[in-house]
Amino acid sequence: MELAFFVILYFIVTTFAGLNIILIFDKDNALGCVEVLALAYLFGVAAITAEMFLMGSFGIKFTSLLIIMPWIALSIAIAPRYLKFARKALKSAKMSIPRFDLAEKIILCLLILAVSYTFFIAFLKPMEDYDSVAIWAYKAKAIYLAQPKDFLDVIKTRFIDVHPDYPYLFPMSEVWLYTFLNRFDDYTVKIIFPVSYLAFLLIFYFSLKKAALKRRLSLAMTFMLASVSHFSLFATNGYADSQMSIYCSIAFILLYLWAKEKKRVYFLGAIFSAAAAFWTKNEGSVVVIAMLTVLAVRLNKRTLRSVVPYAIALCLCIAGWAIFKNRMSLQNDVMNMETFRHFNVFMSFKRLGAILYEYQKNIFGLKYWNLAWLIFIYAVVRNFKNTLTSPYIFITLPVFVILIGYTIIYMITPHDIVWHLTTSAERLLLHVLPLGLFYSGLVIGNDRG
Amino acid sequence: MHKNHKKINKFYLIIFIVWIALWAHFIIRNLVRKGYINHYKILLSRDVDGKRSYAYGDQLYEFLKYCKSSMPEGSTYDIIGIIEGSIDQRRIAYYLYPDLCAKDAKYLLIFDGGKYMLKRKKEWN
Repeated sequence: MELAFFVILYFIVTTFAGLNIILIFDKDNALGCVEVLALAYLFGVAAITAEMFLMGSFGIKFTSLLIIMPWIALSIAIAPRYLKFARKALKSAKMSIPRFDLAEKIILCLLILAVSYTFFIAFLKPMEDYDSVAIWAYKAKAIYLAQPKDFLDVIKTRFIDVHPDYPYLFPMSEVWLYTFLNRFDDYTVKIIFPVSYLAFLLIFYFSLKKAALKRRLSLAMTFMLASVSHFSLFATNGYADSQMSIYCSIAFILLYLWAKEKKRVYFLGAIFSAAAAFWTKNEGSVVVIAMLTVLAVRLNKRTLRSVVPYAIALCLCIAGWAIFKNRMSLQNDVMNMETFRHFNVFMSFKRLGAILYEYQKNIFGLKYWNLAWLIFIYAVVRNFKNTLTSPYIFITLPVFVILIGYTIIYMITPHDIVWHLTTSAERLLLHVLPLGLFYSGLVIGNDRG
Repeated sequence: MHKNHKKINKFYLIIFIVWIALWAHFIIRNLVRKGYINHYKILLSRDVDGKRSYAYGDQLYEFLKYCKSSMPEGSTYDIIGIIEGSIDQRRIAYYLYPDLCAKDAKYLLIFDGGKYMLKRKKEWN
């Protein structure tokens, strides 16, 4: 009972931290209450983990109170926005939701079933999967047990063979729950994975509705995403790829909504999500490149002033992390400068066959992806003329840029290419899966009129 | 135009039904044919310690518990009988942390399935 209380409190506090960020971004209360709370939780995780990382770097001990204090101070400073938000929440609570028809009720039941199944699987076992115990949970345990004084020492010396240069959002989010519970508990901590998945599904659903899709289709697309075997599996096993997929997708979905509605909150949320993706995994740098590419392509005189400062801020975050890695001599144990020294262009292009074969295997891999990739390809072909026009370009171009980026990584990897592909391609495709389904939803919505 | 819309809607409805059928098929196949349901039954009947034991393998987990209780916290160990880079090796490193795997270790852990042993460096030198 006490454990349940602290876990619930953990989610409330994390959401509260993120709510501060959203309310700063959302001057005009453009977002609905449920999506604000879902987004606030995910942004809260990103912000608190960055804060904890800074605290650890300065040798400050992690305590729940100390971590939450700046957020309490911030909430006092923006109290009028909280009042505005509360008024809006009360108003929307009084509003009645239009009744669900039979088809919607059936889809909703299927969606609840898919989400419940994911939660069920997550709690069957404590941390035990390969990457979770080898990288993420291992780092979380080491950091939690070491802090505060040995924080940097642990980062520098204990993670040499487990990708020491990986960013820290994921392990620090586990440390944050351990700090809250005041003990190491790698069974309870698994709750954060399916909760992130659920929060993202809510954002996905409301974004589809905002993109002018009907409720039935939005529900159907959300169910489809929730029931993709890989998407649901990675929300249970303690791998960082699900979180990466979530931040990557939010970044471009919000950018799409910004292109459509021109509301500041969407743009700032997109930039924040791209930074969070970068803070989750090294592959996040490809997300940032995709973000900058889309912004550069769609930049005009009118948007120049509002876009450039935030793009620079994003680049500064990346530079800060690069400087930290350099000072700590954190170098990837697989991909580093040595890789480029042995780089052979001819050999790299010879790998394309194997790479394309692996992609093809996934596209037709119904067991793991259901029809998701086939529907995406259909949507691209169906809407071919408009695929790279506004506002679709904010979804499609990132998908293509990210896939090209990953393909280039495979072309230069020093690993055995077949081994590397079979162990990671499916996880990399997971990063863009929600964007693929979001785009498919838009095309289907247009078709249905 | 209206007829065309009807056709398209029907096409999407069929795709959605196929999606549900595939989703249900793979879940049921895993549960029944691959025997996941039996794993779930066992896991549900166990406490957290039992779940970990089932996930890691009962013998490996018994060995790990023995090591944890026998070595003082923060010890170093070397291990024989586990493949380098295997999931078992990762689970051992994770579970025994803050005890660390090192070349110049204080303890030698020997694991051979059901049989296992832990020796201090003095004894095996």
